[in-house]
Amino acid sequence: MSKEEFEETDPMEFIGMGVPATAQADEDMVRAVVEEFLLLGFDRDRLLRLFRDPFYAGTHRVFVERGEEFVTGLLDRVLEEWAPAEVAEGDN
Amino acid sequence: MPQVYNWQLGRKMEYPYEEHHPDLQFAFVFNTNRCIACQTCTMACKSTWTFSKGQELMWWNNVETKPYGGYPQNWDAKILKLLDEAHARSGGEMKWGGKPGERAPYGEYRGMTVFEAAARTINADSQQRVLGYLPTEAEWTSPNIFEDNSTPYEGGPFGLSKDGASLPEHKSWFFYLQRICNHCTYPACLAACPRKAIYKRPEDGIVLIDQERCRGYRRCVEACPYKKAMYRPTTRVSEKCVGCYPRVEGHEPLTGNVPTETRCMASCVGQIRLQGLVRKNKDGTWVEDRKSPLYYLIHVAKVALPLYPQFGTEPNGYYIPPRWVPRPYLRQMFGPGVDEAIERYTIPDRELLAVLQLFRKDQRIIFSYKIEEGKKVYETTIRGKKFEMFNDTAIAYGKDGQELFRTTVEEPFHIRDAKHANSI
Ligand code: SF4
Ligand code: SF4
Repeated sequence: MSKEEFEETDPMEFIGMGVPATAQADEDMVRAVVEEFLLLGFDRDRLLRLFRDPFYAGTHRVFVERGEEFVTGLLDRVLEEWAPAEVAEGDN
Repeated sequence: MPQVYNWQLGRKMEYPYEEHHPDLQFAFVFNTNRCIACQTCTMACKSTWTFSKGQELMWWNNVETKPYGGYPQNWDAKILKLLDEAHARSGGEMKWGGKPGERAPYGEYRGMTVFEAAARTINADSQQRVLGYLPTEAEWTSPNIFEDNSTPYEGGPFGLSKDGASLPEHKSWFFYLQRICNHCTYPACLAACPRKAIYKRPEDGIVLIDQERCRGYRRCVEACPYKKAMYRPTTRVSEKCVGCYPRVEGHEPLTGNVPTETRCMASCVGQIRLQGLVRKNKDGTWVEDRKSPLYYLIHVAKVALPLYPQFGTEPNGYYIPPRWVPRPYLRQMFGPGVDEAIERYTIPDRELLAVLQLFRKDQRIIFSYKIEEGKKVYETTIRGKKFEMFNDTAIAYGKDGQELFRTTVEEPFHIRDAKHANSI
């Protein structure tokens, strides 16, 4: 399938085109992925694996293109924001 | 042509008929952030309404992967292109402007709708009242072709092709778009029908095709910008989503014959769907019904937005936009309210958190809700904004004010027994 030539006249041929992702979109996506999996109980290591592992094409692309520092920086920021916080007695 | 008020566009627009509004309007909110594309909704609809001969290509409910998927194929790219070309011919632009106000929550749409574009750019002799196109049969087949699977599979565990895919692959983002007929306030299907075979019910705003009057001219199929009117070759007339009207009317013995949500809503595994009946004013605006969850989500919190409002049909389906998708794409799809909606959804306030819990706890239609305050359980700062979580209780009420259920913001946490960890 992957080796077949693209045939423009075939009505079932895929004619979509890639929509470029902006730098802001990378950030929004990383945030969304990290927050969702964090709330599911993933720890830092497991979260980072979602980006390191080439099996996860979308997140891995960000890891390769933007670099490890970008991903870990954002990851740590989100982890800090969602750190378990004590609620002061007087608040209730 | 008569002028009607379209609040989603913040202005009057041309429409072939004078405005008349139902007392109650079928409306719904889909939270795209939560959909897992399991297609349970699709099958619930199919197994209820379109399982017969001649309906093989009909999916009144479908869930497609954006940006590359669509049923029928490329429907939105095609209608946007037609609209764009019409603007190019007449020198206009599909843009928004003006300040948001009470009767114009998204500002004002300054471009042409599918009705206006037809009136201005199509030859009057053609009898085409709405800008549109007839999808080919091929476009109706394979509703999910090329979605989620553009990398070839070559067998074995995780046996993805080493050569990769020759298709353009979306490497960073996509989302699922759930679609049914929007039971539009100004239906394009109804406007286009030369036999007046399509009508909007005064009691609930559900749009139906009279199977006796229809002669299968397919003007509705051509006109509906969302492509939710479909032709059935065996009966040679057109059909469309009927809004599960017997359930909405309250003829579902399972729920004790009270107004009940449609099959696609009730079956939603991802709990992304909430449907209801909202009260309308004579001028087509919504009655300020502060206790209605739909009114709250759409008009107060403004987290749920119409799909392609610029088409001009005033669709009654509303979407909480996916928060990870590039904004220009979303602004084109859901209008100028996108940024505000995502901001509010991402860092929800106290009431929004509680109202979001009402989704899919019951299949009886929720007419109103109340919130009982609970304890603060969590607080933090997200992107410089304070976020507080309270374990409030949301209470849902039915048509006659009877309590349907109560639910809390904090959900019970169940851990599956190790013995059954992988069983389904
Ligand atoms: S979505 Fe299409 S079929 Fe449904 S009411 Fe609107 S114009 Fe008609
Ligand atoms: S049932 Fe719900 S979660 Fe599943 S595809 Fe339909 S809308 Fe999405």
